[in-house]
Amino acid sequence: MARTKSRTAFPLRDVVNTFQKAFTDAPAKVKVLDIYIGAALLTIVLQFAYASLVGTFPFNSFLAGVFCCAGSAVLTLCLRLQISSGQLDMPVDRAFVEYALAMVVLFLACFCYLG
Amino acid sequence: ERKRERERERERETKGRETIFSSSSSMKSSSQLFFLGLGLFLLACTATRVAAAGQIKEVKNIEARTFAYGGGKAELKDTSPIDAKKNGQAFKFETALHLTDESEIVVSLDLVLGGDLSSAKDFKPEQRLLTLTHSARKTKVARIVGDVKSHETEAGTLSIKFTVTSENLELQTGTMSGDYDAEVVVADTRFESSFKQKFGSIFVTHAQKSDGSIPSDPPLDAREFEYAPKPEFDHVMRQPEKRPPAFLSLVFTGATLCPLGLLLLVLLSSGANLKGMDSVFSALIFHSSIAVVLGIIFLYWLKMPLLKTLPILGTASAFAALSGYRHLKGIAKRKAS
Repeated sequence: MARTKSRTAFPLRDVVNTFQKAFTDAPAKVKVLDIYIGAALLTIVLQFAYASLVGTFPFNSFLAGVFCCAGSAVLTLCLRLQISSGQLDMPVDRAFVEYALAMVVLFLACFCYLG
Repeated sequence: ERKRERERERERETKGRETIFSSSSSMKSSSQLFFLGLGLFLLACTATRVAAAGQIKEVKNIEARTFAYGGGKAELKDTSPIDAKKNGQAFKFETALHLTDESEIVVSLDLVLGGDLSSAKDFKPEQRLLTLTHSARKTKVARIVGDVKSHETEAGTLSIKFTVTSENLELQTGTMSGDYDAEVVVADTRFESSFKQKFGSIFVTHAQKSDGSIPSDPPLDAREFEYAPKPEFDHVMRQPEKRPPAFLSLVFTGATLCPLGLLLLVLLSSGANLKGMDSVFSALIFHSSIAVVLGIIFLYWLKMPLLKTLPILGTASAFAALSGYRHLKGIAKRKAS
């Protein structure tokens, strides 16, 4: 009874524990990618905090900053899925090179939009 | 019998063709006659014009005389000669011509004709105009037709006089006082060249009203209204957006760089290292080429134009792709061996 009560009362704690366990059990290379995704998401939060304080002017710069962080997080997540799935039909190094080229294109687009 | 029928049919066909051809030939001949007649008519017109050509040999004795009304008579007040050799250029008097309601200005000139017109009787140039254009409002133009008489003593010479009165001006331009630019034109289709000369300006003052006030200018007409300068207006610019204090922006700039620092710290604390990197040289080249590409993009954001950036970026990207391919190939070889 007490166990079920704690599970229904604190579902967030279970979610955090699950993530922590998965992170601890992940290989080192996958951990690096997870840390980078966390850093990108934290940057998005900081940018939103600034925009909520002082406004979104200039709006194009705000969007460029947020999309750059979100895009790089998504690309890193895709690379993580490719590596951790175990069904990769190409070498890991080649997947990383494709990831690097995609990031370059993303940064070029965001810098064009930055203003 | 069949042969006879065939022969009859052939005869009918040949007769039909002949009639068709004969009607087209008659059309041709009528059109030829028409164009021939038209050509003769045009030739007659040009021949007639060439036969009656004349020329202005000389224009002399141009002068503007001002007459003042006094005692019911017009008395000569001032005579201002005009130089005929100016030939189209504006001529300025030493003393200005002034026209009032109690005076009139008579511009006269003598035209010495040459060619067939010198002996022509009762010849009057088709166009003999003194044009007065208001200096400020160019749409207000008065035109005075000149009176033509044969010269009293010289044969083949015409005397033309233009009489300018304030009543005549009022009929054409209204009670509009001010400077009027004067120009004389004498022309005819039979002249080889025409005479056209500007000779300065005439200052016009119209009569006062019965209550002593100065007569007003006529209102603007449609042409003047359309092309008159529009009223000045001030542009209303959008107010600039309210910007935050610089200190706050700098604080948040530092805050957004903190995740990168945290990233390094967490990576180092979680045991990330570069010990597994083999073929350091080719890996360095590959990662450096990526850093160069990112640096070019950063420079583009700072100051470089796009068209200058793209070729440089293309070259650097190609080098990065090649170095990456080479590096991967080396890794694959080492793993295979």
